[in-house]
Amino acid sequence: MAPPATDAATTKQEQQHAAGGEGVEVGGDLRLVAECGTVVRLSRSAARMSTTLFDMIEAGCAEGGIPIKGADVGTLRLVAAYCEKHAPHYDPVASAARLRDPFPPFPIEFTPASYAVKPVTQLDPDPHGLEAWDRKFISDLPDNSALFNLIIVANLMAIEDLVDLGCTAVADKMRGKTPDEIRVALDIENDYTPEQEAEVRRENAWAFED
Amino acid sequence: MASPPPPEPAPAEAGVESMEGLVLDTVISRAGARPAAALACASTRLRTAVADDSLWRGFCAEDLGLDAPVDPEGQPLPSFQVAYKVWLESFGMYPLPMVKRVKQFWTSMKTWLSENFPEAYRTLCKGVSEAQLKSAEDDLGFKLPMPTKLLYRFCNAQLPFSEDHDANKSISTHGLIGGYAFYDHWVNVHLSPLEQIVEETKDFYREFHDVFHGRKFIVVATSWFRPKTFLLDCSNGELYVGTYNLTIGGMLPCVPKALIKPAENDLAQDGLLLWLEEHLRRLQNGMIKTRMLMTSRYISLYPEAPPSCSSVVTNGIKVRSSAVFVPEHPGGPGEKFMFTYSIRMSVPEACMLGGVYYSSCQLCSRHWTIRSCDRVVSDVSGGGVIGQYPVLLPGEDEFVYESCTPLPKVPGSVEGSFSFVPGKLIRPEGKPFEVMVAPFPLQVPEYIF
Repeated sequence: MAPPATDAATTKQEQQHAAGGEGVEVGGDLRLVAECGTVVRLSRSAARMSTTLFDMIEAGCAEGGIPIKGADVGTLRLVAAYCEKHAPHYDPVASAARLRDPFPPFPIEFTPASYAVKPVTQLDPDPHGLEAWDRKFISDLPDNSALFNLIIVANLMAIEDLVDLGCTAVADKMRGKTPDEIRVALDIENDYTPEQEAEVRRENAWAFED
Repeated sequence: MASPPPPEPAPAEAGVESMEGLVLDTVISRAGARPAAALACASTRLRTAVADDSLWRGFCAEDLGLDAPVDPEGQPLPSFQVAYKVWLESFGMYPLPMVKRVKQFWTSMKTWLSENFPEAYRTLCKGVSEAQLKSAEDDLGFKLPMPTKLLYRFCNAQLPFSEDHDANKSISTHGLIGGYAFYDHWVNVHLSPLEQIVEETKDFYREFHDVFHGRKFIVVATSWFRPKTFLLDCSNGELYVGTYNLTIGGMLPCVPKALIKPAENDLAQDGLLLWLEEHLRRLQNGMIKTRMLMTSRYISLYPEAPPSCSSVVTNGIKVRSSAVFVPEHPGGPGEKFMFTYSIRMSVPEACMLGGVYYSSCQLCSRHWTIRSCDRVVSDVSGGGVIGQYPVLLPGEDEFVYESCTPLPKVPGSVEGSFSFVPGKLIRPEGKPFEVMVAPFPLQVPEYIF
């Protein structure tokens, strides 16, 4: 008998278990199902970071496999890794108050959680090493496609902090670059005709004056 | 036997354009306006995404403090995207945080003036162009500090002196900075428009050639009535007021030197901008107010609130007092400093003495103790105040008068008392009683206006 070496084999067995209704653990890890059928496990505490999953847990329908439509297994694993790393230090109030609309038409009242007592002078701005971990997480992504997929899946699962991280990374790639350089940096295909391109560059000439 | 697991399918190729609208908006708004414009040139689909005007509403608010799609003259434009472009074409040669700050200053100042001093609001002139600034710099022979240039781009200060004497007279008390009037020393400071700056600076250098040769001063504000001159040193951004010894180079800094930052970066602030912002703050928080001089309104520099203004009530009579440093006036032989002070007296509710209410009271004499570095330098008494014996009635407006005192050394203070009789001097209804004047400070302030 071949040892259950690969993830796929193990999770297939678990899937069969779940489907058969045998040995389902209530309160255990969630089982996210990628587009190809592979299962990626996610602890409950890590799942809190996804508003979608959190709502499902609260509603009691997070047992069994949760299909994440449109998510490939590689990206799902990355998302899971992010959530597991950030879960112990996750403050839902601080995160949820950050509205998706970066420029809402009304002022946001920000009341810090009563239990989040922050010292007046923070000696270490990154006490848990999360910022350093995030930087490496992003820089370890193989290509732009992986980054965009990450943002798309994080958006699907409503993981605000990860969407934020991803968007900031893309925004950082854009700054200080000419249109040609941006095309290279973000793998954008130029679909302008020469006349159109000249016109749009004229329109936006103000951005390139020094 | 377990079959080998199927290969995991490769993820679909994702591009920037495959991100959902709101996510793409987040990316663009994070990147900023200039990157957004560059992104629009990358592909037609991204051009459409960048054209979402809510993005540009955000950029206008964040970068320019602009909350409506209008051009620098206030004329409406079709979208925030167009507005951003128009503003950048006009002001893109300056760091945007400076543009936002100066725009905010003039908007707030104009709002305060239109609500509290519309006559002065009407003296403000339209901003100058870059070409006019360049022409002024060529005329002067040196460059103007960047924050000052921005101030004049938004507003070319106030109407200048003209040939028409009557026109001058009608706006003489409408100086943006304002002043004071004691005895025959009337001062009202106006901010000079660019043309007047150049003209007066040239006159200045001609008249005081030896003192100012080689320096880069410009005359930015002057007093109508008695002379009082404010000079901006364009080499370092410091603002000075000429003392009575201006002819031999006497001048004092008007703004704390530590706050002045060089013009090479986004956080630049020169003496003129800091001075004007501080002046506006004092107007907004009521530290200084407008007053009437006969039928003309003016901004009075006498402080109205503690700690510079002291206030005390004795027997129902309230006396408020504060002083202003007068750099352009010599104290007198042996006296280095001159101060003007304003005393305001009133009966807010009723004058009460020994359980009895009086319908009026009248001042008969004054007594002042003036200290310099805690040493008494003057102890004077006399009848009346500036030759007057005011009668105070309950509930009426304050009786206000101004006087002055020289001082050998700073800091100092003034305190004293008035002797009042209940009723009237011609028919007193009781014995005279003392009304206190709480001590008020005499010091050379951090900001001199």
